[in-house]
Amino acid sequence: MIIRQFLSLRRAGVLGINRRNAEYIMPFNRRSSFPLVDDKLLTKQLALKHGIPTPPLYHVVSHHGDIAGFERALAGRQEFVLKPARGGGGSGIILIVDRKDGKFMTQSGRAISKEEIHYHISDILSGIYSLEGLEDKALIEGLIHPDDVFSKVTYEGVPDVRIIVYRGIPAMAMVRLPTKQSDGKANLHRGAIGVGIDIGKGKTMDGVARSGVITHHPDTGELLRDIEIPYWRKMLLMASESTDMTGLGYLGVDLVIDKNEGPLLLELNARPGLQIQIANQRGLLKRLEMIERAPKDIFLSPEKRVAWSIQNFTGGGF
Amino acid sequence: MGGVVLIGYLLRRAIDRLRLLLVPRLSFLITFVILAFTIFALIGSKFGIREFMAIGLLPFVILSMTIERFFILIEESGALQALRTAAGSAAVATITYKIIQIDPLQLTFFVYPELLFTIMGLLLLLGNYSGYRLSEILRFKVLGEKS
Repeated sequence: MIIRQFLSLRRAGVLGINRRNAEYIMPFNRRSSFPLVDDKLLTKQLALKHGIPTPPLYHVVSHHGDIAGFERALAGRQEFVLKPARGGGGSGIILIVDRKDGKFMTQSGRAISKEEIHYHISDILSGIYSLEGLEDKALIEGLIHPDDVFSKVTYEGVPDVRIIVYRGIPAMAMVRLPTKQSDGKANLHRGAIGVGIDIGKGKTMDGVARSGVITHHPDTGELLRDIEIPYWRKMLLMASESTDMTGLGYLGVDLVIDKNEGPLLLELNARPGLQIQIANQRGLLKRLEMIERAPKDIFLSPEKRVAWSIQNFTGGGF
Repeated sequence: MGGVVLIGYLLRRAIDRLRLLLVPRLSFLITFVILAFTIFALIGSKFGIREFMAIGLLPFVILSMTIERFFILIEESGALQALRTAAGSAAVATITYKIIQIDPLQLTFFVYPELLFTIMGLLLLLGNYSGYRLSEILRFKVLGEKS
């Protein structure tokens, strides 16, 4: 019974968490490179060096003594994002969209005081939100104004695009759309929906919510399929270049599309989740094995790797 | 123990508005946990309930961290998710406890401690297993059905 279930997963080419760890993450992601992606500040500096655009960095708070100075560093900016450098799963992130009478307005419409912000920064510095519970830094970044492309299928928040890159080749992609249930956050475990992307066409396919496969956004009621993603080739290139930049062979790349700035690299993940397979309604293994058999010369440049991916990962079949 | 986490959580809620730094906050919780166990131990010794005295040996720091994590989980993911996580942990702890309480098992390992090497060997084998997990049958059910 159980064995038959395992075999049907194998036939569908589903990548399980054990195989991902043992055969992809451990051999292809050097432990020493993990800090480059676990620390968003390091990722940002690296991306800057390699000419990959990221959201603008306004300020970094590293010590408790500097907390009071953060307002001066804002220099009157009305909107910003406060996030832990080493946070995971979207925890500890606050989006401020406006300031009124000395209060900060969050995206969900809550007004929080200066003291509350200070307290939150102090929590971040103490490492409450950090992956290993170590001391952390608080980043203050520019707020992203999402491009209108997904506005009909987004409930508040910022949708983001996740691309799995194996040996520099984009292998699978999805867009994560915030819902009412996810409180405007784009994390699937919080209730956001994942929508598979046809890499070759740069268009969305059906979506997946906790309840199963869906064709329309649960809050806006709009069709999820066939949305054409702008800057798609550029996004694939940014994802592919992230491998050269970090040396990580199995990588999750998170991008957002800003109305004014275009695609921006939000963060990288050395242990990307497996939900992307559900969003795409296909297993990842066959594609990873195809990449292993790909001709050697396509690995020479990001352009060639992306072109190969576009050619091979489209339509049905794989 | 669940009671301590619950009361600790309420206490953590109460002190949230004080905006304490992490270390003093945890110290405060640890003090509470020690106090709670002292009371438990006193009640235990008064009424001669040995189980109540035994839990006094539980690591205090772990419980305090549990309270803090529980609080953050409720704040960020909601009470339902937090309770689900807590129930999962409690279930795993209970099953483990039941297993290590089996008398023949305890006796065997006490008499033949070298059996632990066998366990270590099995763990090494298990560590090399790259197949699917049981939970993944459920997680990827949709994909399996399609094939």
